[in-house]
Amino acid sequence: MIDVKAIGESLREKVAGAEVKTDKRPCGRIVYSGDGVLRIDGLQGVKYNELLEVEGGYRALALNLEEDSVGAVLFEGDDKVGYGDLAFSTGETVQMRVGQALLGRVVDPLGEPLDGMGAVAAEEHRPVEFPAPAIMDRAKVDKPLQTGILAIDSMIPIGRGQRELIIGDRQTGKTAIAVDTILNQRGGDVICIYVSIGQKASSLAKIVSTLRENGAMPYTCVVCSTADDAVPLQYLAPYSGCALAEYFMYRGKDVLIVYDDLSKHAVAYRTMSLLLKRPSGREAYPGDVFYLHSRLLERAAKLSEEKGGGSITALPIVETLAGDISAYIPTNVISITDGQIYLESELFNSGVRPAVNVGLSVSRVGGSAQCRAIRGISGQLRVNLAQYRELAIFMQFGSDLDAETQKTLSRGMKMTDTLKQRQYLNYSVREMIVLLLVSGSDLVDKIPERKMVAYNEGLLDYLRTNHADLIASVDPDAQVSEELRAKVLEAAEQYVNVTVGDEGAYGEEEAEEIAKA
Amino acid sequence: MKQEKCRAEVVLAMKADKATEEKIEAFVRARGCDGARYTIDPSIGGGIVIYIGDKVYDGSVKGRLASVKRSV
Repeated sequence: MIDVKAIGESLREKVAGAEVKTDKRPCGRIVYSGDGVLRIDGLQGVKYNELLEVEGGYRALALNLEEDSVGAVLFEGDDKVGYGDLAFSTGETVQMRVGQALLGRVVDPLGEPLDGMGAVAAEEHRPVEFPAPAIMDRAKVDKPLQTGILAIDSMIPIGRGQRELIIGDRQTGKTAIAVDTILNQRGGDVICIYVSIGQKASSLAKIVSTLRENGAMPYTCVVCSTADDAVPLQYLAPYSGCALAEYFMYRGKDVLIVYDDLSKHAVAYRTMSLLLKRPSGREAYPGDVFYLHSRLLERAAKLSEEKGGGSITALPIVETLAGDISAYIPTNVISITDGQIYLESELFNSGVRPAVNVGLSVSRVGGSAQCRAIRGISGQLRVNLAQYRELAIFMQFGSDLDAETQKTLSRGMKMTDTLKQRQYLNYSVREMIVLLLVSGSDLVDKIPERKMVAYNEGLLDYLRTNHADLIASVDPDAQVSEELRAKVLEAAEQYVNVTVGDEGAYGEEEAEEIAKA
Repeated sequence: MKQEKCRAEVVLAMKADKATEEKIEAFVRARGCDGARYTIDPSIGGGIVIYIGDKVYDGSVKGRLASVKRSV
């Protein structure tokens, strides 16, 4: 029940307390307005990136300070601002509303709610543009951020405070990896922020409902600008998301932020720059498009203990065209980030999902943050897979193969199958260790080819119900002991004997279906 | 450089009397203008708005209401 009286009372108090003064402030007249871009005459003393207020209550951002005019971009109401209207400088930069109250909400880049759940009860504001933490304030990345995806956590580990790029063509599951990673933080201590930049409202609605259904909203905030939002809002979205992330980081929390995606962000910035008549460079992007992304991603950091030890882990997404990672924006962002997860549509279409190309994907700092147990096992995995890929090329010639080669090939195939994983089916660290132990042992020779995916899922189910204590006894922070390895393999062997003995456990069709899913 | 003389623009809700006009003249002269041009615009609700160069002195009812709205 809304207490109208109380609201009225507090309003009256605020009005009485409001300072009523004859304000004297710089103003200018609009001499050009078009495509959301304003040219303003006058406006002495305005600063770069200052928030302007246009007659009628519309907000704009001053971006070009020239000899006799100011170029600005409008956040809203570009069809209502007219020639000769007044524009005032406010003396403030753009601020994002921040606070605990934003978790569970869907907001626009200025912190206004978009989810119809009423006003955001957050009193604090943070500037959208903020300097990145200084060198001495940073610490080494030493704690893993579990994505719950075996292919990534075993071979391309991500540490808290790292910036890992997710790159690939359209429809290769880039967003799926990011969303899976957010879902995997449920019950953990990581706060998630999903920033959508210039995306279709329909796909965004789908993501929000996925997060909601899987119980991820209580620790997640969605900052969104859709494709029909004004370009300046799309440009601001990642910086606002980062401001919110910083709020939590400087309070000692670990934050995961997803920028989906930075290629659309670059396009939005290009639109703005061209309309502001800034000189264009390669692919018509302005000269500072590198700085645009580097200053954003530099704000992701792991803070030292003296600064609270918080962190921002950034997962920027970049879309490539026809697998071309040497285009302007992809090369820029690859060089800024600490590694990339490279997704391929060819792999995706052949059923390898997540479609991670483990050869081209790297993580430059995550290795030291990886759990010791997984680090111990996955080194061999990487080598084996590389060997398999080399041989697999040979196999295409169809020559007769000796038994040893055939064994390597079959194992490699099973290894690849082990890395396949259904969406929304995240593994815990302990489960990953078990799977890696089994897939690296001689046991896999007993499992028929093409049944590996079904086998792995079945094995985990079996272990969860019959050997829960065994999974619990796995210590992720210590090397896997021989004793544990023997125990795990023994349990897995029991399961192999049960299923392989009984051909009906997984019909050919069912296995195929699971493989496809 | 000698500053060019300019004319202040004064917006009122209704025609001002002699005493007020004198006050306005003194105000704008103190800020480097050599005179004022008057416009009557009832939509400001009351009070006065003075434009001198690229500065606005907003003392209108409308402007004050807007600033109260911002601060609430």
